[in-house]
Amino acid sequence: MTNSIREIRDADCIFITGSNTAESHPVLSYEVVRAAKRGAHVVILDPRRVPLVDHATLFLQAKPGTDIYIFLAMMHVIVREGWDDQAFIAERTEGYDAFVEVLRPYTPERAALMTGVPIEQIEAAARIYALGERADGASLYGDGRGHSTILYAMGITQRRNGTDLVMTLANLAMLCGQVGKPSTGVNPLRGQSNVQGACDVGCLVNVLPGYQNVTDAARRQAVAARWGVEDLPGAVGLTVVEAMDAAAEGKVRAAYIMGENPMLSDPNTTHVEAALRTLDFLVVQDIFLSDTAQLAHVVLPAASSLEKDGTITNTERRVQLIYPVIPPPGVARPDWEITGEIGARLDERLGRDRDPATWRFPSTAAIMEEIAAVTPIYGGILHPRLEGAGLQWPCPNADHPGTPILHTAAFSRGKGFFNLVEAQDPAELPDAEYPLILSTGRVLYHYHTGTMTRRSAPLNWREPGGYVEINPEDAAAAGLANGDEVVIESRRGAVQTWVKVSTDVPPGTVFIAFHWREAPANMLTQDHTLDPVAKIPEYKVCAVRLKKPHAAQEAAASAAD
Amino acid sequence: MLDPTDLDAHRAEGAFTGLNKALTAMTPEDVIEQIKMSGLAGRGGAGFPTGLKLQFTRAATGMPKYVVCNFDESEPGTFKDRVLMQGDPFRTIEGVILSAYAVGATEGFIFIRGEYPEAAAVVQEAIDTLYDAGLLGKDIMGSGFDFDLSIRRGAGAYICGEETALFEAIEGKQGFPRLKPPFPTTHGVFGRPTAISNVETLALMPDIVRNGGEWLKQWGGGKSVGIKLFCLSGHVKQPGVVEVPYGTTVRDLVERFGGGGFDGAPQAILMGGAAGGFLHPDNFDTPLTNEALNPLGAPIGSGVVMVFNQNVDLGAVLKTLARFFVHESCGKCVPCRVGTVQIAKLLDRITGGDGAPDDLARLESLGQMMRKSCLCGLGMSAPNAMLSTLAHFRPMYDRLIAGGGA
Amino acid sequence: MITLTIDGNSIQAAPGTTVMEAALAHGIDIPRLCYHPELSISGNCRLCMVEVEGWLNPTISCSLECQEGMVVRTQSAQLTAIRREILGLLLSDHPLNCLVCDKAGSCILQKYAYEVGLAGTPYPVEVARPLHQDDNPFFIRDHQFCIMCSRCVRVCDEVVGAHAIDIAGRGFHNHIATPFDGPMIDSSCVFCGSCVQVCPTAALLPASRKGLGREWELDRIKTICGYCGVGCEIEFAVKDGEILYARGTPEGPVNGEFLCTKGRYGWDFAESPDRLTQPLIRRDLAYALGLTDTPWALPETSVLEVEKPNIEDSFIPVDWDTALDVTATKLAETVQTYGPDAVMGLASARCTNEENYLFQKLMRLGIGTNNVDHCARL
Repeated sequence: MTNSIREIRDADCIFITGSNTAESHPVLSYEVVRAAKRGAHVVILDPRRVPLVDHATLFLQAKPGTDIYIFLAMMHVIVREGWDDQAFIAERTEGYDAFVEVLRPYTPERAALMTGVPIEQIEAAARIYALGERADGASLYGDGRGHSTILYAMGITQRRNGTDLVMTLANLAMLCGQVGKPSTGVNPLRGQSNVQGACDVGCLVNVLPGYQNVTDAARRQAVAARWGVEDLPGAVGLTVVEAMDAAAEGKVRAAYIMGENPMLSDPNTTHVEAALRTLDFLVVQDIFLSDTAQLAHVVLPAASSLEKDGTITNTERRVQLIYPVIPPPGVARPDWEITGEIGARLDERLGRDRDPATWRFPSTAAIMEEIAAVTPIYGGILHPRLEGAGLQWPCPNADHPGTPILHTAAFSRGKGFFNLVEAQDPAELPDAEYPLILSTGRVLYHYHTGTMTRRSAPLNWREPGGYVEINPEDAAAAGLANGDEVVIESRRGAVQTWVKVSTDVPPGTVFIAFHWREAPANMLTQDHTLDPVAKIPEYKVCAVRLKKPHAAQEAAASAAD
Repeated sequence: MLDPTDLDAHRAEGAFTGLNKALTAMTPEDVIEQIKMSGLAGRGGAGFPTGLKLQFTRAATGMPKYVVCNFDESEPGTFKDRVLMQGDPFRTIEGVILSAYAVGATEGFIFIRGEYPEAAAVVQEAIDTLYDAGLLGKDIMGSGFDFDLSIRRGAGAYICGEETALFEAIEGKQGFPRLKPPFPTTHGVFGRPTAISNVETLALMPDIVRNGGEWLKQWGGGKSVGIKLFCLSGHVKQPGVVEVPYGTTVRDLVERFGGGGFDGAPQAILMGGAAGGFLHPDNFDTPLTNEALNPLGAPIGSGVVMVFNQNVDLGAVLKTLARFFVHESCGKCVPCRVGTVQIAKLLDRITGGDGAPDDLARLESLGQMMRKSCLCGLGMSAPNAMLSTLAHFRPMYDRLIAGGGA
Repeated sequence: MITLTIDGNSIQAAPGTTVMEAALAHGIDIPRLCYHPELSISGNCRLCMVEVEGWLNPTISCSLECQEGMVVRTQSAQLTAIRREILGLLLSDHPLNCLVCDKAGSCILQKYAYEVGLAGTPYPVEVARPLHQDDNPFFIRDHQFCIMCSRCVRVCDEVVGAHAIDIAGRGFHNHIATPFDGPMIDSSCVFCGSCVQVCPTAALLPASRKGLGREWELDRIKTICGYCGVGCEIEFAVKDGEILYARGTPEGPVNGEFLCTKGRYGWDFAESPDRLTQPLIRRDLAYALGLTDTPWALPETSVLEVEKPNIEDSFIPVDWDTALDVTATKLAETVQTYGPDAVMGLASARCTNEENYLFQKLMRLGIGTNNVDHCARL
């Protein structure tokens, strides 16, 4: 997030898109509720009627995969009406003229046609966002236009043009000067407790800790020097989806998986399982025997987050200490101890004469000292400083107070650049054979692949199993009623689950959460067209069809004959 | 008697001449000035100066503004507003429109208690008639002033006569009173500036505007200016609504206008209703003014004058009043929710012969605490009747405690 | 800034600050039950009354805005008398079950009764709400302890936005209810437990703690929630190494006192019997290594077809040294035979920074590849 969570309650306008905030980030949604109760505008753009729409002042229900037309049309309208922030544009950005040219054909009329959202709603959203209007009167701020903030999540990024969409939201914020001030900004809501931190410390194929490119020799060699070697590999590695393909092809032969469950979280499950089975060696380190761990040659028992110390970094870049609450079961150990042991023993096997202290640390605090030494944005982040409220990076040195709001005076590259973005449709659209769009996501009571929450008694009492949300029109057309069993088929596979008839999804769209191993949504999702930059699969759109279970069985039987 | 909804007949008698004068010859500020000059104070019981109320609402920022006519009239023993409204709805509605003009309101509500179906029908017919005649709606009397008026009905809760609970009810919520401040003049119905007045108060406004502010001052004086409707009931020969100037004595009211008591001399008069207090015969010559009656714990309130003769068991009456408050407490604040129940329990114990001298001290301290600490007027006035008897009818209690019950 | 005097202290306050807020900010403790700093002002408990010089009657401080030159007293004989009366009334409608009450020690009603020295009520006792609702595994609603402060109603509406509960009925017998008093699960409740968090008495109690420990027996350990990326601070109440319940604290830098259903109630996974407690080697590899005499092969059916995996069917337990040595050996063999890029590592968005840092260091420095990723995108 460019801004901080607690600023949301003081926003004049909150624009939420591609985020089911109340279910995926419930406590952050409380901020939105508070802002709404105080009279802020809450504008939501989503294909589903997500629960937070109850508190919205404007809801734009666009067909899945078409939101780009709305964003471009909003900016078209903003430029047309002169609602853009010319002072900000002149002082802080470049590329405006070319950008405005690209916007020209993206009229609200065209967007309305593509998305099904009325023109007036698109124009109202443009005005409310651009000017930071409140629903109940004057802005809380006295510095020109009201303050608008954008919240988004994987409805934007899990798309074949996710990078374009993120850049578009950045363009929108820059165009209106809604960045660098309190309660503004472009704010991605990260899904997992430490997904931000895992990225920050370099668990990505192309960057070292602190987003230093592996292809940047000077940066790379600086890290290498701290690690006691001359250089490190400089070629960008394989992302998880690419690595699965490489495994299936025999190019990747061994895998070390720590606390991940790609069997349920990665697209095209059948392919993933085949790839994992092909490996010569798979070691999985986890707290449960996950579906992935069932395929492992070695399973290493880890301590859970309630049983160890260290730090995690939340979606507003706040690095916070965690503490052991209970002892780990049996001989389970914290992951850092296990990984350190593997490192030391690997060196031995490979005949390297390296100080085992490279791997075996006395404490997590000592590891953090090394992180601070090689990670400029974490330069001042040390455990003793984190007691209490933690620190928000960038925090380059031990005296730096942390950074609640990014881009207050300048952008990372200096001036903000208006990237030129054209609309692009989803990779797999419905057709006669697979006439419905499947969108995947989460429910309130479960988390990711469900390994933890499905073992929680109260959460399971409330939400014991999976279901597919189907609009009443589509349910009627398929002869399905609430509670019926149904088979959902895509070009990759099929899952069987229960029908929940709901007007929360528009006609032509079905929704299923990916928590359920007995109805794994990712049997259906496609892995052939990823976002070209971020390599993210398009979980939010693929084509499916519905069948009654007996019809699906007959079809399968006749295919086998 | 005129047909209550015959507009022409009422206009022939002068109805809406005050409004006409205001709309054609007076600014809103002029109207407020005349009301202030008149000394008119709220007739619903609280007695707040009406002119100031209008002035504050006019001065408040925020649009739209509202006017509300409080026709909940749920104080036991009060029926003057019903008589006024069923006999001459136009007079009060003219007052509502004058208020609206004065404060700059564009919409108003008449809140009518659920138990008044006949009155509601008459008021609705009057409103319809006025819309047809161009006296409500757009461009009233060709003045350019727009004002819409409609009825909201209560559902039988005493608390909804309390102005902020009444607002909640109009908004479609449970009738819980709000904290004050902020006051209705800035944060009234729908959170907007609102002038809310009792029916009787509004009914006096047309004459004040027509005749000028000095008109009302020919009666009464001090904090009790003008004329007041009283509701005579109980052991009195001629019960009904009587209009007298402030300052008439209680005895005069009961004997001259009510024909006196029957079946023996009155032992007490309940002034102000369930929220009021009992007047002892020693004090029957007190003039009907706030200044004289308030210190006796027997306020004028909404104008209830309920006479009890010697045959009545005053303890039973007190228990009935206590149970009334148990039933009508909204339950929002602690002292009222539990305090009303404990007053009833202690009175039960005392009248049942199980009382101890300590119980009287407990009643006294509970009542005094409730007066100071309850959230709204209901709770603050709930102990009044009981406290007035502790002060002026002490021998009754002493007898009950010494003699082991009634 | 406004200058006023509270209990003889000259205090500066921003315009719009209430006397309650100004007093609390300066360490002056005014008794209060319905007041909560994160919620709207209800003003129903009337405990926080103060005296203002020149004013006829005492007034509640939670809704009283500071005014220039105002002189406020929070303690006096009159105020103590009022507070004793109010507490006496509350105790006449509240079972004095403190001996067996889970909330004893943190019950605010108990605290104030103690402070004014009330052992019981001077009034006849009648409990208005005997209703006991235990219809879900998250929390118990025991209305006999309810003092109708409405904090739960306000937090549900104003913070969570669920508005699952409100006040039903009128007067002495009113109570907090779901629509038509139906079961909690049929309401719009999202089981976040914010109502439980703000309840001053035992009317709302975490089901997980009932009868298992007194407040003063519990260790309090703060940590950060392991679920989504919001990073809420949670305080766990632990007794003898077991979690009894979780709650938020006002100091939480992101969430204050508020949590969601997963954070507040979803911690029991850690105590699941399914937890891995020792290192395991798959039976086919174990056979190849001579750790078992029984040959075995991984079944070809998808692991997703296995309804509930039985660890012993497919794995044998080993000690740490064996597991780590086998792992290091196999990874080293792969590097030596196929090169470092034949190894991939998946780190975890649920592990710590230190762990992920060490993991990518292992992949880059130990193995020699940039094939290190995690499910950031998934």
